This record gives sequence, structure tokens and C-alpha cells, in this order.
Amino acid sequence: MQFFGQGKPPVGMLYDADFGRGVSQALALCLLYGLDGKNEARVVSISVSKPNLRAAAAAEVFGRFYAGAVSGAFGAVGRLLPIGLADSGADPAATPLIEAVLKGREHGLQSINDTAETSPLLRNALTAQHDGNTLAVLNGPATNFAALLDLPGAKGWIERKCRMLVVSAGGLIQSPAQAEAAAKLFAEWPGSIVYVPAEAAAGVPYPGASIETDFAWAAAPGHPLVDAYRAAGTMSYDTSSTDMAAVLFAVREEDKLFGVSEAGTLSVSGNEVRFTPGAGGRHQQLLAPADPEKVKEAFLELVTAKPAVRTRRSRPPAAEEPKQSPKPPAAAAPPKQTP
Amino acid sequence: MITRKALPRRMFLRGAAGAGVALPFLESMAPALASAAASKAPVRMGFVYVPNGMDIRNWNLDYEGRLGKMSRILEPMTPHKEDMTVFGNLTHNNGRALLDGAGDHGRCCASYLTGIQPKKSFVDIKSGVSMDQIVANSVGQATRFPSLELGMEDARQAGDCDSGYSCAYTNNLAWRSETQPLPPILDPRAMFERLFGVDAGLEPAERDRRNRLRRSILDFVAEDTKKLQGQVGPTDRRKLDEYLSSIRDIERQLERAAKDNAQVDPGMAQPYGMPADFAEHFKLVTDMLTVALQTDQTRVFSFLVTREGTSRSYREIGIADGHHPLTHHMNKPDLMEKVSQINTYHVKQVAAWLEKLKSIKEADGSSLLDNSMIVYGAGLTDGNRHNHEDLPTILLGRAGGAIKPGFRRVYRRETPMSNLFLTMMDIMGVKGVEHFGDSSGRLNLNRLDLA
Repeated sequence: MQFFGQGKPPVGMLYDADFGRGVSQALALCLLYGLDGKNEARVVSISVSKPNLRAAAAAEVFGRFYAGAVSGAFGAVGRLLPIGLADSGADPAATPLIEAVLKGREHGLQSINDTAETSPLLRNALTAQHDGNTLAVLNGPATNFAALLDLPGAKGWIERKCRMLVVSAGGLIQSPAQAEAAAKLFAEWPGSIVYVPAEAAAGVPYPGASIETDFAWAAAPGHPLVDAYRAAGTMSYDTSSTDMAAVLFAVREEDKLFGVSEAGTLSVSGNEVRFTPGAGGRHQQLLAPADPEKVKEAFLELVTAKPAVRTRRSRPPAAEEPKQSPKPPAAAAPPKQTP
Repeated sequence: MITRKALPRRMFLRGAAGAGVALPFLESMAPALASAAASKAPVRMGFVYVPNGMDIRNWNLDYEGRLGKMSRILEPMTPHKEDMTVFGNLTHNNGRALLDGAGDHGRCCASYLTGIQPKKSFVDIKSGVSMDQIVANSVGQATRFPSLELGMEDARQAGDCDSGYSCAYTNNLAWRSETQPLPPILDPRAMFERLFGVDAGLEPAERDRRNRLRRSILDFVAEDTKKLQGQVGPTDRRKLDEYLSSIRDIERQLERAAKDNAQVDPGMAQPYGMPADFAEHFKLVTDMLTVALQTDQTRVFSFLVTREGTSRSYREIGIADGHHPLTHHMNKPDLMEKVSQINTYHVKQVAAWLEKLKSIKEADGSSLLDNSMIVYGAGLTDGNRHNHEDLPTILLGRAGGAIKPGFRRVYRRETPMSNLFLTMMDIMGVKGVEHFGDSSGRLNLNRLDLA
């Protein structure tokens, strides 16, 4: 059961990534939960394109860390949602990062039936949002979103509900099948897309020093990001922030932390993404920030944010009873006139 | 050379006053060298819907795979576990609020067989064509009734029954079009008359007078019966006797109900012949439904046991509280216990009905249950939480061999219930439907586990 307060809630986020490939998706997910905790966004769907149950479980560990295991119900007040998981695709192997996140932490994904098929999950999440009040972020291959486009009716929901899709370069194309999925996404996504090339965030790597110092507050077994980061490389190292930039830009677009190109069209040639400027195009590219320090500040502020307790929005304490009327109304209101 | 002349497959015992008793399949109806295909019984499809969700703690099984120990609520089904499939994770997204606010009872019932989110209104109703009607449109021409819609409670079609949702949403399962629900038949006597063609179209006063003087329908067709008994062999004679006895039993139940009603309150609004006792009422409805299925008068039915959101009490089992208020138990153990008892009581009635469906043999020796696929379930998962994922759903029967029952089959989370319905349409032979409601594909009914 869903209950909403007055007015439009913060923008709903669909986040899809090949979680576990590297630490950049873990950073992006923490940043996203940081925005959720500040009520700037709501995580409404998490899906994993890496076809590995433990990758999905690791993503769920982050969800539990931020939201707590308060509710597994889709659309419920709690933020722990079903995790969507691709059941096929490239690179199914677990990684040291995934194992490090799972070590000593509880999760609820014991079999693939504990995860959701991605297309209905994404579609269902869209159906529950206000028109134009959803953003989608892709930090990995476009296979899940491309599959969504084939679900009957899904394009209509995307068009109606989703304001923008932000696609980061990292992990988008690593195989011919992924190139095909990206091409389909660019050709058929019925809304605007902003592409984040690696160079857009190249000047703002995430500082490894932060991992050493900024998460000491997390109770045992500690912040899963710290274990993920350590498992993904030899400390201390700075890492790419392309995926984080995609999330930050999507939610804080109005802050103009990044520049954006003129309109154009994205396409795929071989394993490369091409952007062709042109009036009438629905696509744009993210440009490097004018003030990298501000972006870095935002990264640190959000990634290191502590889990926030979200208050319930409007569920009344007493149970609602279906209203029973003993007989039909004497006079029904006339139907509204349409112009 | 074999020269035996077969009786017609679709045959009625005819009598005076428009009476007509359809016959079940008799051996004498099969040509001596009939092909297996010709004698194969048709698949029947139905839905038995109970309202207000379940006490899901006591419904769910904690395992997947072959059915073993049943949960508390499903315990009465233990003798039938080889004939049932217990599903996990089927979801009706369009039963959810999706920004339409309160009204889960109205939404879950209206979306149950349509897969469509109904329009929130109690004036301008709009849902979708229900899957049973899609099937009825496809196979219904082969039977006397394309589908039967049955119920045991309220059938108001107007007014606000749940937070702005019309009573048409809470009181109907079947929808012929997106604006035309098919109200269930509530009056058992009306159902009887529909099946056996007696008194149809009479004024209530005249019908009442005739009911008081009523003879059995079997009296009306006695001549035809005697004639037929002389034409068939001993096995068919016994089968015929059993069948006619079951009709007489239905008549006695109707007479008893009418008598009980008269004693309780002659002015009560309940239709004539509606038993006050839940179990008796359920048995009467399902006995008649069984006859309809047995005699191939219909292959499609929906049975709204009680209306969605009902506050009916169950004094039969010592529960004076209303069903719906109880389901908002706020995790109070005493209230939850009563919900479990009601849920179990419902399942107990279904289990007794399955005995009957199993006992009826068809032309090829299989049982009526073997050739059925009956969904039993609710449109809400937990009546306290009003959620719509992992809906309590079981499938009874083996659909003529299309389904291998005896398992708990868990699918991935958010798997649309509409996927099950799409697959059921396939089994019923509906062609050309690639998408239904919010389906994302078809459900593999024989796949144990994706893991």
C-alpha cells in the first residue's frame, strides 16, 4: 500500500548498474542514497545488469545499510526494494569487491527468486511515480533498459514518467551485445538522454584518502563502501567518478555543477559512442565542470553521509476502513466537461 | 463388425414446464471405436476468490519444490496436495495505489482478472475485459453458458464501496467490457433454474406459489429418464443414478435453505433459497457448479465467495467480528488468530469440494478435477498491510495434463499475475493473445525453480 503526503514527493530514481564490476558503482550508489537521505531524491528501483546473484546481494547490502531491513515490500514506506537482476549477459563472475561487501553482512537474496526480473520491476516503479518525476541513471551496459523498451506499454510509461536518462560511459560497452543494447537505447528511448563521457569527470576523481578517514562512524562490520574500495584496488588510490557524476548531475541538474552540450544525437559505432550535434536532437553530453572543487565537495558530502531516518509521510495510525454506503447516491455529480 | 449406436454427446432429459436436465458424459455416448482425442474431456477453467487477503504468516509455505507439510491455513488441502500448485511471488501491480490513494479493496478485486488498474470512481466505472471473458469468447460457443459468474454475498453495482471506488469494483470479478461488469448470480434458486430451465421468467409471486407446491425436477423428466435407463448398460445406469441423486440432493439443500430463511426472518433481503450457514451455502453453490462443469454446460466460471472488503461475520465458527475489521488486526494476536480461522474455514470448504470434483469420472477415466484448473486466492496478500505482491494463490487440478501439480512454484519477485493468466489462456486454446494486463511474458507452470 502506498501513501503519499501532500504535493509531489522528491524525484524517483531508477538506478541500473553492473554492480560489482568496480568500485565506481558502489560510490555512485552511496551518493544516490546520500541524496535520498537528504530528501532530494527517492530510490525507487535498483537493478543489476551483471548476471550474478551475489552482485545483486551486494547491492542489497548497501540498501540495508542505508535503509535498514525495514520492509521488503515494493512501494512500501521503507526503502528496501526488490533488487532487479539480469538473468543473462556478459561477465557473470563474482569479483573480490562483491565478496568483500558480503563478508559478515546479512542480505536477503538466497536464490534468484529473491530478485526481480528487471523489466517488470522498472515498469512497475515507473507506474508509481508522478508524471515527469522520475530520473533514470545507467552505470553499466544498457541491456536492462533495452529489454525494458521491449515490454509492451513500457515506452509510454517512460515517456510519461521519466524526465531524463543519464548514461555514464564506464561499462556501457564491453561487448558486441552491449554495443547493440546501447544503440537500441539511444535509438528508441522515448525521452531525453544525457551521456557522461569519461573526460567529463576526469578532473574530479574520488579521493582514496576519504575512505581512510570519513567512514569511521559506521558501526561494525563497518561501511560496505570501505570494504568494496579496499577490495577493488591497492590503497590508497583515487578513482574515476564518471558514475557518480551521472547521479549527481541527474539530481542536482539545476545547480549547474556541470555544463552540458547543445542538443544532438547519440549513436554507437563499433564499441564507441558518438555524439552528433544537431537541432531537434533529444540527446546531450555532459561537459567538464567549471568548478571541479564544488563537484568534489558534493561528492564527499553525499558519499560520506550517514544513513538518514526517513519519517513516514502520511500513513495514518488507525486502519482505514472501506467506506460503505448503504445505497447509491441520490444524485450523481455530472461528469466533467472536456473542452 | 461393431454396430453399437452411440447416444448424442450433448443430451438432455426433457420434461414438462420447460424442464431440461443436461447429462454428464456416459459411456454410451462414445462411439465404439472412438479416438482418444474424441473422448478427451475438455479443460475447465475457474476462479474462486476470497476477500481481505490472508493471514499470510499462516498461509505461506517455507519451502519450494514438492509439496510436503502444508501450512496451517492450507492444512485442509493435505489430501489434495498432489492435485494442487502453490505459487509464490505473483504480483498484481495494478492493484497497487499507483498514486490513486486509498481503496485497495476496490482496486484489487477489479484488477484481479482484468490486470488493469480501475478508474477511481463510483459513477464513471472503467476497468478492462477480464481474462475469463476472453476465454469465454474463445471457447464459450461450445457450451450452453459461455461462462458462469457466481457469488454468495452482496451484488450491489452502484454506490461507493471503498474510498471512492464503486461497488461494481468490489462486487464483481468478471468484466465483459471495460465498462460492463458481469454481476455474479447470488440466488441459488436462480442458479438452479438457470441450469435446469424451470420457472424461468416467472413473476416472483407465481414462482413462490410453485415453489411451495414444488415437485422435484426429476419428476418432470421421469419419463425421459426411464427411457434412457433402458437404453444404456449397467455402468451408465449406475452413473446416471448417482448423477440424478446429486441433483436431488441440490434440491433438498435449496428446500432446506428456503425453510431456514422463512424461520429466521420472512422479510429478509436475502434471496429465496440462500442458506444462512456459510458451509451449507458454499456446498450448494459448488454442487450446482459441479453439475454445470460435469455436464459441460460451461467451461469457464468465476466465484466471488464474498465481496471484497466484506465485514461478514463467521458465527458458524464462533467469530462474531466482521471479517474486514479483523484483518486490520494491528498485529494483535487474538485478532490474527481469528483471521487465520476464517482463512482456514474457507480452504476447508474448497477441500471438501475437491473431493467431489475428484470423484466424478470423465469419458477417458480421468476425474473432473484432472481436467480443471481452478485458481483459488485473494487480491490482497496481507489484509493488514494491503500489499499486492506474493499474492496467496493456488491452482487446483492438472488442466488435462498441461500442469504437473504437487509443487510449490516460486517465481521471481514482481512476476505479474497476468503472466499466469496468459498461460492459462494458452491452455484453454485461446489464440492470438500475446499480452494481457501488465504481463511481461508467460509463466512456465512446470518449471520448478530458476535458481
